[in-house]
Order: sequence, then structure tokens, then C-alpha cells
Amino acid sequence: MEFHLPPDNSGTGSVVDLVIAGGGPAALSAALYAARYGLGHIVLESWQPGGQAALTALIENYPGVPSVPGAKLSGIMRSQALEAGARFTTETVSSVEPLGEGFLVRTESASHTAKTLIIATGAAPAKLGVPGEDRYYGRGVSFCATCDAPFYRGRRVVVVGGGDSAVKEALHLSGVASGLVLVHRRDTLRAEPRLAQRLLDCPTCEVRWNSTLKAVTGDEQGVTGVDLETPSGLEHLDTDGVFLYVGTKPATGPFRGLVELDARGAVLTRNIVETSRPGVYAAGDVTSNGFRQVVTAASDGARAAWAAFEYLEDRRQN
Amino acid sequence: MPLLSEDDRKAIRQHFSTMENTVEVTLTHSPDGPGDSGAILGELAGLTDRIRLVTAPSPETAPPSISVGEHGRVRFMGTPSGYEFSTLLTAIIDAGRSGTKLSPATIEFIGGLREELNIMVFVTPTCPHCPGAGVLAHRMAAASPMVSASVIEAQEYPDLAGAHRVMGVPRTVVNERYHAEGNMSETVLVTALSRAMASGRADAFINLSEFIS
Repeated sequence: MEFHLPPDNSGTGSVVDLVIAGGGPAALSAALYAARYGLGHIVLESWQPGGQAALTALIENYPGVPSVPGAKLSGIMRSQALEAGARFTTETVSSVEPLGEGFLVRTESASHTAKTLIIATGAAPAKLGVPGEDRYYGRGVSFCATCDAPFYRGRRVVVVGGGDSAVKEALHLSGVASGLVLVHRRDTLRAEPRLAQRLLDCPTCEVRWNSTLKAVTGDEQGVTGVDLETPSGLEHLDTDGVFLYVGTKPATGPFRGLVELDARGAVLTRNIVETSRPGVYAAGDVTSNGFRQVVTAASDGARAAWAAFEYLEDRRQN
Repeated sequence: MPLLSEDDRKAIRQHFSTMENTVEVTLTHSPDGPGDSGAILGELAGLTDRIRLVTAPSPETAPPSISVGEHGRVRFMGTPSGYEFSTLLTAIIDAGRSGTKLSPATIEFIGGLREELNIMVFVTPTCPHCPGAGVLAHRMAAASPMVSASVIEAQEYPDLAGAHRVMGVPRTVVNERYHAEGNMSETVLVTALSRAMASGRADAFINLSEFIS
């Protein structure tokens, strides 16, 4: 039996050198390094500890940890940061504005002033925008296999996507579902080859290549099927659930106007963690950096904390 | 052998050290015994003198249910494991502290209620999104006698989950009519709920996402 502990929730506000916004591997790594550098800091983590990593059933490519549930890995990271002296509070950033030589970071319940900021708010699952997707969200349409897999025991499911997340979660779902169809718009999977091969070898899984989801259909009870556009024309598949892994949308709403974003809404970075505004750094899935893995998020977080430390040191000396 | 690791116990003691008041925690369990929930609560009560644990056998065979506080408005239905352990622990710690963590806008909303709110939040132990929704409901219930909230482990209460068409979590159902999917932020949920209640709509099921601008 596993037990996840609650975060702290002081909600009283603070004046610090560094605010770290986010709760996933990038933020946790930044918190670890900030604590070890002795920076006065606070981590504002929303009520989704561990970020996207915590939603991953099994992570097999984090160096030094051969195979571990995502929630466990992020839990270990958080414990390590806490041991080092990291300070957390459960608050979601609502806005940030420049204030003097620093920033005013507002949340729903408090305000924090900081000399530097690390944006590590990650990304949320992207939607396809097809008919039925919103209507049946929570009634057969899901973005979280880790959360919802128990409802699909012995049922048929469709997974949409071809990247690491889609294939990992399809493999997780194949352990409970009676049958699984992966719908992918290309003719090969983008997931790392080892994962892809495991899916292709899965006896209860099949793949619809070069196919796209056009609509989710259902009745008053929930999802009953999907309409696909396939190379041989429109096809209707009966299914009880649809899991969407078609990319992510960076969680940058509160930072719009503060730092430059790319067309996707990700924080534009140079030198990996620097943003368009001095004193503001970004790390992990929220950035425009191309390769998004737990290990790269952790690396970004460490670099961002180091960059904030150097920035503060420069200002102290000048 | 204890269920909680020594590291967990140490962290929980730290959380409990911030409690100022004694909290009554009542476990209702089936006739065959308090089970894992009883063991978990027993270990928690052993870490602080701020918990007064009451166990109440039920004549019916049913999954466990836990009530936090003497008022009975903050409930957890099921075994508090995985992420749901943090939901229960937060309810206990909140009850042991003075004040509320709710925003002023939420306090104003529940202060102006003219009908009681019965909130159910369906969850699973493997859902990292779920504690956010559960804790918000519990905090609203703790703050007002007009609100009661049950966080329900959907797999242990399949009939209740089925009756409310739960196919994904967290699912929040208010007064058997208004429902919200996913972990909405406090501001979004309360704004949507207040708009939906003011709309006067009489539909049997009203999706709160329709009231988010």
C-alpha cells in the first residue's frame, strides 16, 4: 500500500530571492539546487504534485533508476529537496508583474515578492478539438490513464497518439482493457523504439496507422465509439473509452506578457533556461526546448537554479 | 509491521506539529473489523495526541467511511491510500488548525448560500489530480454548516460511482445536479458553481464547464 503525503499549505505569502513556480521534476530539481545554494526561496506547487511525470505509470529511462512509477520518482525528488531545505506551498500562480528590481507573484490566496523567478509550470494535455471530445470528457474521454484505468477493466479502449506518452499509457491500459486500438496519424510510432516494439508485440493491442480521430460518439451514459479517418475511408469503432495523448499545451497563462512565448505558447529560451526577461528563467515542459523528458526537465531545473544564483551574486557584487 | 514507513511517520509528525486543536476522527467499518483503514488511522493517532479516534462498527457490510470533526460534514469514503491518504491527512490537519485556507471569494460564496450544498468528489488512489478537488470540497464543508462533502473512492463504492456515471476522476457532483470533471481551480469551480446556481436552470445534470467563460 502506498501513501502520498500532502504538501504544506501556509498561504501566507513571502519575500524571497527566488520563487519557483511548478511542482514537477523541473521545479523539484530547481528547489533542490536552490536549497543547496542557500537561496531564500519558495516553491509554489499547484494541487498536482509531481507534474506530468506523476501521471506516468512507469518511467524506465531516468538514469540510475531502472524502472519506477512516475509518482514514486517525483516523490523521491520532492523528499530529497525537502531534506536539503526546500520550502513548498500549495498555491497556483495567477499573475506575475515586475515590481522594482524584482517581481510580484500573485496566487489565489497570497502574494510573494521575489528577486528572481523560475517558471517550471509544465504543460497540460492538448485537446484535438473534435466533436464529442468536450462533451464526453470524464464520461469516456480521458487524458489520464493512471487515474482512470480502473474504470476500463475488461472494456475496450482507444488511445490516440504515437509518442512516448501514448505508447507508455497504452501499455499500461492494455493490462486492464479487454482490447486496445492505438490510432496514429503516421506510419511509424515516434515513441522510443523499445517501447514501440513492446506495443507492437502486445497481443491485445492493434494499431490503426495513418489514421486520425474525427469524432467521439456516445449516448447519455458516455462514450460508445469513435469515428476515424483511415487510408481506406471513414471507419467507426465501438469503444468504451478514448485516451488522448496528442501533445501538450504549455501552462504559461500567468506569464503571458512577462516573457516572450513561441507560437505554441511555450516560454522561448536561449542557453536552455534564459527567458526574454532578466531574472526570469524557465525549465522543463513549459519551455520551447525540443526534447521533453523527465531527465531533461531535471537538468533544466538545476541549470535554472544555478542561473538564478549567478544572477543574484552578480547583483550583490555590482 | 507498520503500514507507514519511518520517513512517512517523520514527515507526518512534522505536519501534526502545526495542529492546535484536538480533532475527532470517526471510522465506521463493517462488522468484520476496521481493516486497513483502522490500521492507518491507528498509526496516525499514535503520532500525535491531537487525534481522538473513534471506531464505530456498522451492522451492514460496507466499505469503510471516515468522518473528520464532530460536525460530521467532512467525510472520506473508502480506504485512504495512495494520493487519497494526503486528502484525509489534509482534512485532519486543517481541522486541527484555526482559520481556513479558502480564498475570500469562496468564503463570500458559501457565506451567502441559501440552500445547502452536498458535495461528492469521486477519486481513485492513483490519481494525482484528485486531492486538489477533494481538499477544496472538504475545506468548503469545514467552513460552513451549509456545506457537507464526501470524498469517495470510486472503486470501493462502485454502485455509487455507477449511479453518478463516473468514468473519470476527479468527478465533483454537487446536490446530485451540478457536475465538474477534473481538478478545477478553486476560483474556477466556485465561479462556475455560483453562476450555475444563479442561472435557474432545472436540468437534471448540469455541466459546470458550461459556466466557465
